[in-house]
Amino acid sequence: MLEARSLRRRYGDLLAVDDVSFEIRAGEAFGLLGPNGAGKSTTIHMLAGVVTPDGGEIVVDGQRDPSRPDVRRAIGVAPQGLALYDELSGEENLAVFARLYGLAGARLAERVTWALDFAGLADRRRQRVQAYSGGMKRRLNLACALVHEPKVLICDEPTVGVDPQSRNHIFDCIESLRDGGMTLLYTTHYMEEAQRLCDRVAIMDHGRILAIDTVDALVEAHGGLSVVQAELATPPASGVEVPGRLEGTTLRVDTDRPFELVASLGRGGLDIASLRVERPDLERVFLQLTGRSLRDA
Amino acid sequence: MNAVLTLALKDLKLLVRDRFALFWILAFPLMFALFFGAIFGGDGDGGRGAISLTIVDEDGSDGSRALVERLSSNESVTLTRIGDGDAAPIESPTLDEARALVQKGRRSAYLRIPAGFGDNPYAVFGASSGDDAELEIGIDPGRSAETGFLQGILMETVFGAVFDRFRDKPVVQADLADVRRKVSEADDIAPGQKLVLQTFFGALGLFLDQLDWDAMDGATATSDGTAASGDADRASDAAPHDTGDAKSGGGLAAPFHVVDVSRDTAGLPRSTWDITFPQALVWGLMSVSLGFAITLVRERTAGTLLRLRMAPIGHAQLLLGKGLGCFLACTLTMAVLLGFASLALGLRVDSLPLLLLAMVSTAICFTGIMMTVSVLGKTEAAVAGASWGVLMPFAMIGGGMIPLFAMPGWLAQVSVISPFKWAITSVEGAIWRGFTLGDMALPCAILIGTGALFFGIGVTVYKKLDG
Repeated sequence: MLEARSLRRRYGDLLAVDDVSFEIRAGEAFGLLGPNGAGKSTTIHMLAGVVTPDGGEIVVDGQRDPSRPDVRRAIGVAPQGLALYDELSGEENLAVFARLYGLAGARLAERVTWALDFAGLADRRRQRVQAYSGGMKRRLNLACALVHEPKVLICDEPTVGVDPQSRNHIFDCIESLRDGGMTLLYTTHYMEEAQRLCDRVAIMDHGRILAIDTVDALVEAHGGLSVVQAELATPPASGVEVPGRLEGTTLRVDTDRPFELVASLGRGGLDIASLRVERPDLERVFLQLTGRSLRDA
Repeated sequence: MNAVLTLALKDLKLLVRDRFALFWILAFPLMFALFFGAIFGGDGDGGRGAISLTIVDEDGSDGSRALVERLSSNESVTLTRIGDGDAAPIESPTLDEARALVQKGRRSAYLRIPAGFGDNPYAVFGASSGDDAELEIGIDPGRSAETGFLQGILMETVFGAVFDRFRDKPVVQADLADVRRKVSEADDIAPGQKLVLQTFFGALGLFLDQLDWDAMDGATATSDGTAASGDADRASDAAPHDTGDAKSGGGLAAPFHVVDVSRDTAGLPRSTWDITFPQALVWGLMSVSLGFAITLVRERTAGTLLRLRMAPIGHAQLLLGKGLGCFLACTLTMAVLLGFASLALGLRVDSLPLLLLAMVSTAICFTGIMMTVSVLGKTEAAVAGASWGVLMPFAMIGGGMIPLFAMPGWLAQVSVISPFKWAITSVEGAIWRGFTLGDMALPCAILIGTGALFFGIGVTVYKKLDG
């Protein structure tokens, strides 16, 4: 449905996107995970046809030029910033963007109503956006990308600056779209979001794609071992052999079979006060691939 | 085209909902026009100050000079003197010159004192010496209030002159002797009637000889003004064109007739609104340009521009939509302000088609200015500041502050570089300057050319900024 082939874009001395390639299949939820400045937004702008790549090729639904109007109609983009007119109502915002995509008459009214319902704003449709909460604006921002019924939805960090409740609402909305078969490209620097929402994830940093795969495959390939950390009530008796590293009463063990290890620790006569199992995640994958934490990047 | 219209209507809606912008676009220009228009005379229909009158004295008699002297002392009338001070002689144009002064609006009216006027001091009592000796008032028929006012003043003045004559013993005795001579020489009076009249006038002469003139002077002086003004008021109610009937009835008669001298308003403002509203327009249009320029920057900073660019519309459509919105807002602003002036203040337009041409040309110009102004900075504050800094001087030298006709020569020469000057000229040309289509060609061509040039510059820089 959407394919990027060796995309490259330079701004002055900065190579913002360097040889980025990926393919998103129809109905797939694809995540671009990377820190701020990784090149995610530039990649999206190239896919949406507003930034011309210096090199490479983009194919959207079989069409090679995303700047063409008919190709743009296949894509809906929810930008990172709240791209809304505060002085217009939610309904008016949706109608403006729907008209720009060629909708009119009954079809326009139908889609605007659908988008308002989708965003949970039907009862506030005539209220000006400036009176909306941050979460409501985020939902409307997403609805504006969907009002023309695109084949591909691109969400550029849709939960930035959103409270937990609204974030969950947005997750629910996106999950319902994904479950409905919508092709989805989702950028984020929150690994939890990528893990929850995406079928496959591309790890991106400094303009390059470092790895692409399903979350589980990435974790398996780059996440390393699980860590079992046990806090002992009393130090082990002398002569008792313990696995891993023991520092005082804290025992840390790296393992690829954490549950079997926990069972063996119980059988080994250790007096365990508390136990924690850290499974590898995308954060660990990013750390492994880049040598730095995703949150600190 | 649908997308362009959608964008334009969206921008108009945003503009209408921005009360701060609306104040600068409509309320401020309106206040400007009303304030300066009221200060400098409003509709100019008079009734507020003295009536400017010019005198054509074809008689040159003591009687005519006395009449002029009495008029000059009336505070409700202004007579222009040649030179400074009250002792300077009063202007005395020919009839044609006086008529031209009224036609050009430099005097409200003229008063013609015909030859022979002094020979008939009692014309006010119906003693006609023929129409040729009747006073003539020349005034624009549209100045009905001033006409009635002037008639009242003239009646008061003529009566005053008659009463002055009555207080002069030698003049009255000479008049009485003249009457007795005319009676005795008259062929159309029967001998019996002549005898009665001669007896009456003889007794009247004896009575006047024995009269204490000094004492009567004070008494008449007391009643003079009251009687005269009262009669004048009654007489002034009579229509000026009915003077012949009044005389034949033998009662009091207005010793003058009114001649229509339609004012030639071509090329002249009819009121100060004609000046202040075109001036006010450019302030409103400047605010529209600034408002749209700022919204373009705001779209960029708020991210809506990115969303618009992701829509299936081209760069050209996007900018055309913005331009169309600005153009419509400019046109509507002019229509609202001029519509108000027309309905509420009686502003008249010489040529509606030419006004539409001027409005379209001006709107194109300010749309182009908007496009260039929008790329003067990257933030709203930067654009607003830079725009005011650039446009304000142009507005001030272009007639936004000082009316074009009142500019000193050097400023008038400098003003040609300001598009504001051409906007005001074109609008004034259609409203009161009496421009023809040919006259409009230059200002409109300059406005359209300026608009196209600035729009091109703005679009080029905008595209460059946008990458």
